[in-house]
Amino acid sequence: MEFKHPNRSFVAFVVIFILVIVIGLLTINKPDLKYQRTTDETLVHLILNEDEMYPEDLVGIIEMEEPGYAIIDLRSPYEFIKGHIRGAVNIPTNSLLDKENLKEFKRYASDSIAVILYGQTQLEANGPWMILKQMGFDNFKVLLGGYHYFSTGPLDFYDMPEVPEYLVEEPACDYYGIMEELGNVTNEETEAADQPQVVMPVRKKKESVVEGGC
Amino acid sequence: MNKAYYILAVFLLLLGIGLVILPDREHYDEASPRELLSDLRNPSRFISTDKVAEMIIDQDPTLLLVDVRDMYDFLDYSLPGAHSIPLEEILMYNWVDSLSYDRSKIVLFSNSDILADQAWILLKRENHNNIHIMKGGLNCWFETIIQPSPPAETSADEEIDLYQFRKGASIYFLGGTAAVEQETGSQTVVVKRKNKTKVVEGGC
Repeated sequence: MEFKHPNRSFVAFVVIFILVIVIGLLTINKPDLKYQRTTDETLVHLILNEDEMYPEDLVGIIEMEEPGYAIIDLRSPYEFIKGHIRGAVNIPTNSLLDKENLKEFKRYASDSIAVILYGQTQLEANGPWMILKQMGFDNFKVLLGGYHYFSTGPLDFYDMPEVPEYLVEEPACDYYGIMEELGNVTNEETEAADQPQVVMPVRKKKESVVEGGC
Repeated sequence: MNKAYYILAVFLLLLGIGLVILPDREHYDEASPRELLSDLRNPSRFISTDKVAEMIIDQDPTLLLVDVRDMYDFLDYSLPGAHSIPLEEILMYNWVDSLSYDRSKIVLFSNSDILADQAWILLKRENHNNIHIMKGGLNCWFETIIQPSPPAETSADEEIDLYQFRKGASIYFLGGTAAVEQETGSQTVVVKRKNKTKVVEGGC
């Protein structure tokens, strides 16, 4: 092979150039993590509300030391040290998708261990829970009310009001009633204000007869 | 002709066919789990009830309110100008593209922020931007805007200003616009003058 010929070296250059492009195309944009579920499938699961853990149930699980459960605290290590649910493991949200953690999650899935996620509030754990759900981890549950409710609220089933505080999506008050009530009050006030006020000074009538005097 | 040219031509042809097939192989138009996780930690995905109230009062044309609760809740009470798209239907009808345009600020809300957050994550995975969540939802809306609690007398000026704004917003949302007119409305004062009598009156 002689590369002195200008055409040959040109061909070799083009071939190398194309190879670089092909390799680039194959490796670009390849996400290392994949979803197992489409958004539609996830939505169906969400609406069924199956993977929610009620705080009073969790108390039972902890006290009876039931096997087959793992608890994960998604808050920062600092908050974790200040106080956490007994038996919880601390995995802060930003290191949730680290390699070691994912390996651990897969182990949980193969051993069919139910994992309970919690943050300070339910909202804090909602996102991570949904991401893992879409990645196909079906064994993950989210704690309603989060650590805030678990550490402060009533946990005895019989002490609970009809609508417990941790069901945050329940309306806190009768919206329509309040709007009607407050709306009417202001309307009455404004109606009264709308009427033109007529001020009629009543003067004392003077009699035509000469009055008083010195 | 050189043999190498034939080989090169065939190779380029194969590469061309390969490029035609390649885009159908995998969809990269979704946000990856890692991207979604980092988006979760971005505080700008939330919008406060005060900001929403301000935008409604200013009649901001970029605001698009979306109620993700079911239809009965929507019919009972919802924010003025809100669209009802229950969570069940959040991925249907391609509503994001048909209702909004580039500059739109889509604000999802529910009674609290859990349902809105779930809708947000699904839409975010489909790479929709400019979507926000009303922090605290309608429960917070009633607590802060409709029935604001007065700050302590010793609180900072900003807090007192905020309270005054909320109080004004409350009057706006309760439909009490006439409360402002009260001051400007003209009051007609009719003064009756005494009729003077012809007879000489009083005096020394």
